[in-house]
Amino acid sequence: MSNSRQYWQSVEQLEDNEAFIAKNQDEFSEDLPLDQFLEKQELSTSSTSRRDFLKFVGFSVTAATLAACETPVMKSIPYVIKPEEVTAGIANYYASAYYDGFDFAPILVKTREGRPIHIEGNKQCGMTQGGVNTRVNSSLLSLYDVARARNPRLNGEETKWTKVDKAVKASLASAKNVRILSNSIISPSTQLAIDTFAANLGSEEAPVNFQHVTYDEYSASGIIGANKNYFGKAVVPHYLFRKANIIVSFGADFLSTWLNSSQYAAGYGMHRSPKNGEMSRHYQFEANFSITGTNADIRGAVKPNEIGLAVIDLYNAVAKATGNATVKGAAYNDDNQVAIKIEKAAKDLLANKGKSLVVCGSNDIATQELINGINKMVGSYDHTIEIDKPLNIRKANDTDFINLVKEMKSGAVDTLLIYGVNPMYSAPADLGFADALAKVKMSVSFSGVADETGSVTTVLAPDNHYFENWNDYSPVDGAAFIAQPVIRPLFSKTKEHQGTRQAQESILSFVKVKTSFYDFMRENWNTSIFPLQKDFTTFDEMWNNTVHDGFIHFTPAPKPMTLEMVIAPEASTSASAVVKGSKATGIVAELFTETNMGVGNQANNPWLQELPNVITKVTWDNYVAMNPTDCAEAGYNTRYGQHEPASLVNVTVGGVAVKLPVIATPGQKLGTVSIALGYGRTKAGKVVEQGDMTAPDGSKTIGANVFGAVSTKGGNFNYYVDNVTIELAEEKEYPIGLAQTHFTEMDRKIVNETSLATFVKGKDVYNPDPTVVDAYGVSQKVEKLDLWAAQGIANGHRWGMTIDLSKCIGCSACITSCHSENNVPVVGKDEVRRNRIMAWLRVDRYFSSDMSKVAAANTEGGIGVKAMYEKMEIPAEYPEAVHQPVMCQQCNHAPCETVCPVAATTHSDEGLNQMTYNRCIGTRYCANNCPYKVRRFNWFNYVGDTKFTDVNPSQNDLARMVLNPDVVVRARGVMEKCSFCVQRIQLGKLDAKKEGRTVADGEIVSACSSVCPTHAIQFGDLNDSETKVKEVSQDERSYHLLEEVGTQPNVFYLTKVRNIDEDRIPAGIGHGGGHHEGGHGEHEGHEAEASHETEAHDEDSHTEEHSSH
Amino acid sequence: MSLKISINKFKVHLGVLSLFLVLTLSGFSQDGQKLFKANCAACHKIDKKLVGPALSGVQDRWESKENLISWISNSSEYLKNNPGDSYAQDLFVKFNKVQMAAMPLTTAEIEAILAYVAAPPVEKKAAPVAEAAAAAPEDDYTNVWLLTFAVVFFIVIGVLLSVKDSLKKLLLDLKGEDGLAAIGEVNDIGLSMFGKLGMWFGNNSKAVIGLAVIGFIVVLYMLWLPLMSIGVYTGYAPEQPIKFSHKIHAGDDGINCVYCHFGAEKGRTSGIPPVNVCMNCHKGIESGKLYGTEEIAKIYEAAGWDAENQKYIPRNQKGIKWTKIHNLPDHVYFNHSQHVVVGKLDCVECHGDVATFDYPMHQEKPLTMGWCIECHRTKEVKMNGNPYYDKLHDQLVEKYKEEGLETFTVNQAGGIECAKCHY
Repeated sequence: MSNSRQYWQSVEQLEDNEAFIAKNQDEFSEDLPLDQFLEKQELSTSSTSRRDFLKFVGFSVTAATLAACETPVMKSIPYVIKPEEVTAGIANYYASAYYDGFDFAPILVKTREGRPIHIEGNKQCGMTQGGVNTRVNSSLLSLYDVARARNPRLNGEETKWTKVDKAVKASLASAKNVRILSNSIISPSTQLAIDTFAANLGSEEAPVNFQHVTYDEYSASGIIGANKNYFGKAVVPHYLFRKANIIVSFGADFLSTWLNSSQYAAGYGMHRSPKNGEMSRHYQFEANFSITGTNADIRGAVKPNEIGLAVIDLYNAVAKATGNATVKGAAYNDDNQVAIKIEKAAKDLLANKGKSLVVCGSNDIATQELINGINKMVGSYDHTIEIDKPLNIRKANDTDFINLVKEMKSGAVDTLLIYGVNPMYSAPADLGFADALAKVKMSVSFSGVADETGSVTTVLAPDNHYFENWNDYSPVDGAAFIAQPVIRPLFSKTKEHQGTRQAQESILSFVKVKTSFYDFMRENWNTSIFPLQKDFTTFDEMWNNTVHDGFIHFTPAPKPMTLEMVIAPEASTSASAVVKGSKATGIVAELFTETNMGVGNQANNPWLQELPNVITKVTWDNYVAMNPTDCAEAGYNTRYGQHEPASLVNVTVGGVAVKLPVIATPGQKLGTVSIALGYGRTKAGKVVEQGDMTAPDGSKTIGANVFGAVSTKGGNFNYYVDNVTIELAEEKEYPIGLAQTHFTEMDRKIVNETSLATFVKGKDVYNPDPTVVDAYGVSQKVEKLDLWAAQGIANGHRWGMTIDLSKCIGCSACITSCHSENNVPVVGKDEVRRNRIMAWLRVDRYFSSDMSKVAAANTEGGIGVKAMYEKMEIPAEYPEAVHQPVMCQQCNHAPCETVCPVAATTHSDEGLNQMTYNRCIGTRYCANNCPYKVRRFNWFNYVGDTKFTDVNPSQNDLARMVLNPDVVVRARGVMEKCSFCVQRIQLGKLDAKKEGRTVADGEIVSACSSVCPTHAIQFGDLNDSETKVKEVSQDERSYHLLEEVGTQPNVFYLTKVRNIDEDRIPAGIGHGGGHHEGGHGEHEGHEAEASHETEAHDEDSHTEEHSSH
Repeated sequence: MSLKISINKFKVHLGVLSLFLVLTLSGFSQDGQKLFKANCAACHKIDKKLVGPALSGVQDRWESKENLISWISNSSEYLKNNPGDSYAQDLFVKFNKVQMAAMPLTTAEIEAILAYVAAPPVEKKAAPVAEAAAAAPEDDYTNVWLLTFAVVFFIVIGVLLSVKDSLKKLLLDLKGEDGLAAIGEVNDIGLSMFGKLGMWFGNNSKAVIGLAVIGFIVVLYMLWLPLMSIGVYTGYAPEQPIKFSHKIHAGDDGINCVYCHFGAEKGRTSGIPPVNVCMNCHKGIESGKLYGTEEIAKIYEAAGWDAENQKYIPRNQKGIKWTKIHNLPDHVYFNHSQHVVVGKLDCVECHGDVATFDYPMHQEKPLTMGWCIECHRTKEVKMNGNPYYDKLHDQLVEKYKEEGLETFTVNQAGGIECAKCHY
C-alpha cells in the first residue's frame, strides 16, 4: 500500500525540506541579542575599558544588594463599605452577552475585586454551549484600551455633555430629515429607544421625516433578498448545523466568521468525530482557503465569481435526480475536479434528505435563490433550516445604505446619528461616504473611540464599553439575553473628564427623555417580554433569574401575517442572472473576513493582532493570499519567514490602490487572490500605529484597508472584484511575522489522520501502537524501553487533556483564552520575527496532500502516471489542512526536567510538569530539550520595557487591570510554558476540600478547554474512572505526540478522521519511528511499520543527521 | 538606678493587683458587662441614645421588671401581646418603628445585664498611668556591663604585661642576656610594640595561622548572616495610620480573629477589615482605653461618619491607608482558607499570639520558604472526616504500608511540590 501523504508547514518546507530544517532546527534561531544591546547602549564605540566595566559591575551588584535590604512598604486600603458580593481574592462570574454587529455570543465574565479579567462562554445556553470565538474572548482587552474617548466632542473639540446635548437638540429642532444609521439592532430595548426617539421628533406643525437605516459592514443582504423573494420573509433563517449529516457550503466560512458562527461551530462539532462508524460529511467550495475549508472532508476550489455556476451545477444534479427542471448553467474554471465533487455532493444530499444543509456565503440574491431551491429539493426546510425563526444579527438591506449615502450627498439629511458602525472606514469607496457625511449638517457618532467616523462627525458622544452597560439582545426570536454591567464605567465623570455615556441614554436625552437605560429596559421587559413567558409569576422573579442566567426563552409574539402570496422566483431566471453576473476578467480578488479581525472592530486589540492567522500563521498584517503556483509564476518569494522577507506588491483592487505583501497560500484558487478585510484601521489607537504600513492619510497602520474595493453593483455589496492588477512594489520586500515555522518538530510527523473508510477497519490499521527497536534488534512496545523510574502518579489526581483532532476546527479561541487567563505577554511583530512569540498554546497547521514530489516522481507502487498527477495535484496547489493545538504535553518522563541544572522544572504527583519561575536561571536547556517546542523564554521584561509600551496590553496602568492576579507576571530571563492552568486546578481542589467532597468532573477545566466551541479539548482527572477525559483518552483513536520518544505525555490526541471513501493509512506519523533509538539500520527491524512508511524514511534520515549535531 | 526600676515594677504590680481585686469583687456585674457588650452594645449605650434608647434607669421607666424582661427577649411578641402598654408602643414609634431584635437570652442573663446597667463599674481614669508604665520598655544594661568588663580586662592585661616587662628588666640586670636565654626568654626590651608582636608571631606561627583561619570564617559568617536576613522581615512593625491594638480587640475584648479578617475563611487573603466592620462596634464605642477619642475619631473620619447625627456622609468617605505587614513576594500563592478551613490551623500558629500584641502590630514569623516547608514536613493533614481525602488516604496508606503510617504530613500528600505555591 503506497498511499503516502506528506505533511508540511510551509511551502518552503515542501520544496526544500533539508534547507528548511537546517534553518529552523535551533530552538533559538538567533544568537544572543547582543547587537541590540550594543546598538542601544552604543557600547561598541564607547571608551569603556574592561576595568571600568568591572567597576560598574561591582558597583551595581553592591547597589542592588543594598537596595534589596530596604523593606518595601506596601499600602493597603480596604473598602469603606464593602459590597456584599465582593470578597478580596474571590472571583465573581456574571452572565452577560456580546454583540458588536458582527458576532453574538452569550458569555460569562469573570471579575476579581470588581475588575473583569476573563471571558468564557455561558455554558447554560444551548445556543453556543459555552463556546466563544477569539474575537469575543479578546473583547475583554478593549475595555482597558487607552484609546477610548473620555470626553464627548463637538466639532473636534472636547467639551461637556450638556453642550453636546444642546447642540444636537438645536439641530433636531430645526431638522426636516433625521436619520439613524446603525448595525443590525438586536436589542429590543435599543429598538424601543430608537422608536421613542423617532416618536418625539418634530411637532404637528413641523413634522420630521425619520428613517432608521441598518448597515451591516459585512452583509448578508443576498440571503435576506433571496428569502424575501422566495418566502416573502426578508430574514436570515436559523441554520441547524447540529442536525445536518451532509453539509455543503459554497464559500460560507460558517465556522469562523459567517453569521452566527459560534452557534454553527458548536452544532458542527457534534458530528465530526466518528460514532459507530458514522460522522457528518462536509463539502466546501470556495476560492480562499478558509477555516471552514480546512475542516471540509472534500474541498473544491472555485473562483469567487463562479461560485454561482458551481451552485447551478449542484442544483442541476439534485434537480435531475428529483425530477425537477434543470437550468442552464455555464462552464467554469475547474482544475481540481470540482464537477466530480459536486456530483458526489448531490448524491450524498439526496441520500440524506431532511438531514442535509446547503449554505452559501455569496451576497448575490440570484445565487442564494438557487441555494434555497436546492435546500427545498433536499428537504432542509423545517429540519436543518428554520425560516420562521430568523436570526436577527444580520438585517440590513444594502440598498438602504446606498440610498442613504445618495440622500446625504444631496444635502437632504439634516441630522444623522451613527451607532455601532464605522462607515468612514468600511463603506465602499465608490459610494463616496466621506463627501456625503460632510454635507450632513449635524452628524453624531456614538463610537467609544474617536475612530475614522467618530473623528469627523460633528459630535462624538462616546458610548460605554459593553461591560459598563445594561443591554438586552434578541439574536433569534423567542430568546432574549441580558448584558449586565460588570464594572462601573471606567471613564465616568471626574474633575478632569466628562466621561462616557451609554449611547441609548444619549439618544433618549436628545429628545429630552430623561431616564436611565436600566429603568427604560426594565419597563420594556415588563411590558413586552414578561407577558410572553410562562415560567415566572412576578416580573422581579423573571428579571432576577434572567440577569442571573443571562437569558430567557419565551414564545415570541405572533407576527402580523402578510397576506400577499409570494411566488418563488423561477430557478431558470435566477440561473440566468447568476450566469450573467459570473463574468469576470483578469485576476479576481475575494475580500473576506478572517478569524482575528472580523470587520476590524477590534483592530486595536494586540491579542488579536498577534494571533497567527489560522491558515498562513501570519501575525500583525494582512496580505494578498495567492496560490504558490501563481506566486512562483509571477516571481514572488514563496520562502518568506523570519529569515527572508515576503514580496511586497502594489495591488489595485476595485479602484483602491494598496501596498501589501504576497503570501503563498496553498489552497487558494489559481488565478485568484484573497485579501482580508478589517485591517488598515487608522484611528483605532496606539496598537495599530505600530504597523509597518502607511495608510492613504499618511498615518502608520497594520495592513491595508480594502473595504473601499467592495463593489455595490446590483444594489448589494459584492465581496469580490475582478481586473485586479498586482505588480512588484518599489521596495520589493517586506518583513513578515510568521509564527508557524518557529517551532519545527524536525520533520517528525505528529499529526495522525485517516479516512472514515480506513477508520472502520480498526485501530491496528490506522493507529497502531508504536514500537521501537531495542539494542538487540527486537521490536518492542515503547513503554517497555524506559530510561527512568515510573512517576508516582497513581495516587490522588492525575490531570490530563484530550484533543480530538476531528473536532478541532482551528479557530484559535483557545489561544486568546490562554493569553487572558495566564497573563501571556504580547511581544509585537519585531519580536515575532525573532521567533519570540510567547503564546503557551499554538495551533499548528499542517498542509497535506496525497502526493509529495518524491512520491510523484516514483511511478512504482500504483501511484499512477506521473504526468497526470503532476498536472492534477501539485502538492502546494490544493492541499488539505489539519489543525493541531500544541501546548506543554506535561510529560511524565519530561526531557526538560532532566536537564534543568537548578531543578526549576519538576514533576508533581498529579502528573503536572511544574515550572517554577523564581527558581529559573534562564539556561534554556529545557527548551532545547523539549521535543514539542512548547517552552517560551522571557527575553525581555515585557511589562516594563519601553519597547513594548505600545504593543503590550499589560504595560500601562489601565491595561494592567486585565492581569489575572492568581498568576504571576513572569520576569525577564525565565522560562515559561503551559501550566495546565494550575491555578484553576488548585482552586478547584480547594473548593472541594472546603466543602468536604470530591472534585466533580468538569469542575476544573483549563482556559483553552472551557472556550472550545466544538469541545475538542477535554480536561480532567485521568485517575478518576468517571471522567469524560478518561473515557476519551481510552478511545481507539487516541495517541500521543512522538510517542516513540517515550516522554509519556498526559495530553492525548485523537486521530483526525476525514469522511472520505478512499483508504487513508497514516504515513509514519510519529509511530514506529524506531530510528530514534535504533540508529540508521532499523529498516529491517520492523516490517510491520514498513508498510506505511515509504519515503518518509529517507526524510527521517536527513532529520537524524541534522538533529544529531 | 535599680531602686527606680523596682519602684516602677512595684507600681505595675500594684496596678495589676488592684485591677484584679476590682474584677473579682465585681464578679456578678462583670458577667453582665460581658453580656451587655456581646448583645446590646451595638445598639445601646448606658448614658447615651444610640440606635436604641440610653439604658440608664431603664428599670425605673418600665412598669414591671417582668414586662421589661419579656420585651427584651422578644419585643415584637411583646408589642403584639400588650397593645395596652402605651409606654412600649410609644417607644416603638419614637424609634422610627425599628424593631429591637429578639434576644436569645435566659432570664438570668437578662437580669445580669440589667444589674450591670443599673450599676456600671466606674471607669478608672488612672489606668493610663499604669498602662504607660507597663508599656515603657525595660532598660537594657547588658552592654554597659560588657563594656565595664572589657575595660577592666584590658587594664588587668596591661598591668600584667608591664609587670612582666619590669620583671624581665630586673632579670636582665641580675643575670644578663645569657641568663634570660637560659630560661627561654628573649630580650625584646629595646623593641617597639610591633617588633615584639612580630617576634611573637614568628615564634608561634602555627597558632597564628589557626587563629587567622578561624578569624576568616568568623568574618565570613558575620557577612553571611545579614545577607540571609535580606527580605526576611520578622518583627516588621510599621507605623499605622490608626494606633490599633490587637491586644485590646482580640485579647481583652475577645473578638474572634475572623470577625474582622473574615476573608481568611473564604479565600486567598484574610483581608484588612473594611471600615464598616470597625463601625459595627465603633458606632457605639466612641472612646478607647488607650487614646480616648483620638484614634477612634480617625475611623469616623475615614468612614464619613457623622457622630452627631449618627449617619454616614458618603462623599466624606476616604478609607484608611494601612501599611501592610505580612508581605509575600508575587511569585508565591498563599491561600488563607486552605490553611484555616481545610487545614484547621489556628491563626496564632503563623501570626503569633496576636491577642497579646499591642500597637504597632508586628510580623511574628519569618514567612520564608524554609519556614513554610518545615511546617509542611511536620504537620499532619486533617484527612479524617473530609470526604475529599478518602480515596487519597487509602492510597497513601497503601503507599506507606511498610512504614505503617495512618496519618500523613503535608509533604507526603504532595504538599511541597513547586506548583502548589508557585504559578
